[in-house]
Amino acid sequence: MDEYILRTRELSKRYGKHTVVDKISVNIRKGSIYGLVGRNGAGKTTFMKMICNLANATSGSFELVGIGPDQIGNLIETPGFYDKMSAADNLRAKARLYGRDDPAQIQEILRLVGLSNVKKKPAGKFSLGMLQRLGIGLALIGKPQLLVLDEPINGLDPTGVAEIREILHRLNREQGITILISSHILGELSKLATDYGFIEKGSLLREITGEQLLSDCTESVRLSVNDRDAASALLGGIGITGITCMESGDLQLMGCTDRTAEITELLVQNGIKVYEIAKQGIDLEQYYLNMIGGQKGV
Amino acid sequence: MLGLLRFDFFAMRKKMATFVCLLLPAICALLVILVTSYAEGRHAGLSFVDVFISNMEMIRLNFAIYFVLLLHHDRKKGYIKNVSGTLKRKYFYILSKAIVLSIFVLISFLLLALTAWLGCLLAFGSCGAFEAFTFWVYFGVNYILMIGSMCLLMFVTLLLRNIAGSITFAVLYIVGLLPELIYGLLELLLAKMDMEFNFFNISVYRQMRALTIGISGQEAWKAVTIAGVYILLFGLLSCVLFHKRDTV
Repeated sequence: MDEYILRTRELSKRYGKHTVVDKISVNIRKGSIYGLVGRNGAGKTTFMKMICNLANATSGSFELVGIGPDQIGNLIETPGFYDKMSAADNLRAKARLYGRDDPAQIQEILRLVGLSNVKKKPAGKFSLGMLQRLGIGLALIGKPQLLVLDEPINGLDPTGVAEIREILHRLNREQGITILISSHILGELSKLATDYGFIEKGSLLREITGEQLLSDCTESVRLSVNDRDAASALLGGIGITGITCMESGDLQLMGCTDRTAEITELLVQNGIKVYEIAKQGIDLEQYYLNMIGGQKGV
Repeated sequence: MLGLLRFDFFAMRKKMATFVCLLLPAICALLVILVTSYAEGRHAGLSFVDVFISNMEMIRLNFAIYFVLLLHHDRKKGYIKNVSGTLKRKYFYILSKAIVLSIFVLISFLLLALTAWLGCLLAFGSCGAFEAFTFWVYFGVNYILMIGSMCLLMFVTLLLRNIAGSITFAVLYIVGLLPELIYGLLELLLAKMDMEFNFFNISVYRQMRALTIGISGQEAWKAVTIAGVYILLFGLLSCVLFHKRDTV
């Protein structure tokens, strides 16, 4: 049985009449890297703020299993730092909160995030990549069990992205830190996450494990026909339910890669022209776009 | 809570504004002594109590601005996200700031007194005639009134969440424009309802203005009581406001 570190129950946030987060219930497994996927304004940041105690929930609740709020490290939106202080002093300031102003620990975190060579340079003069790393370093103060990272690779160059990915992998593998991460760069997220939650318009559309995602993404059939509606109806009649219409106009059929011959025969027999039928795998981005499309009732 | 206090002291120690705020009244006191000594010679008859009192207005204004800036600092820099979320009780953040600033104001008062005393001793050969008990009563009541007004400013700063607005309020409050206006309006409102109450009389501002070195025991207790009510009321309101609102 899975051991969870965070469970939310119908967590909601409203600003006036506008619902930003709508009854989101997620279960985050201990030791996992949970990728939160959603477009701008979907409610990811607000959801994360509530988890990190930075915003109050309008309704619903969340439960931290076996950890306290002081064991959550966060990097929400942009890193919060004192621009006149060095990286070490920024870390030291937060370490004082925990009463663990241990120079060795500060140096260890600086080394881990690749800032050990910046010495006394004020954080205000850091590049974006260095600031993101400082933000992660700050989140690591106090030996957190859960890291909540909101778009930590935003604005980074490819090298910076790879470095942050490596840091997060190491933290997860070596220190067993659970990570809740959101990113727009879905290709990058798919290299990190072990579990996924898909958010759209404040609601959780789907929550799946990496294995399920892999299975969903590889087991699909792309079908190009002259009459999509008729084809969909026919395929529904033989028990194929995971049908979505892609942006290109093709149909995507989930979980029926072993039935391509049967599908072709059925469509041809019913006078539908089949231009192309192919087994395919899709990436996370396409999977997400298909899901959003599905929501629109395509 | 101890960790928060350690954090606040560390963060304050790293800010240039802290030292400016701490040293400015002392420097001004030295300037007053130097100018008087230059103009009137060694027998000017200026006591260190005179120097202390003459700097009070400036110290109030100085602290009001510093206090507002400090309260906004963590939010403006975003550092509050690293701190507030980790607290089991969010309002500890406000309590810690209030405690640290109270200690800071006390240090500043003591530094000003010490500078004035030493300066007078060096410039005029004596620190002037004064009664120690009377001075310490004045010092203590002034300090408590200052903390009372700081709690009011803290509440307004948290309420407005805007640096320009908060500083404007703080300055107008300390120079007396806002108290006159607000309490005047309240009294006018009551007068329209055929009622009468002197709000101004029970304000911290009025007590600060009326405070003199030879304050009577009764007046001193009245001032301390009013300041105490301000500290409790606005301290509590600030904690509730911070706790109930989203941090970012």
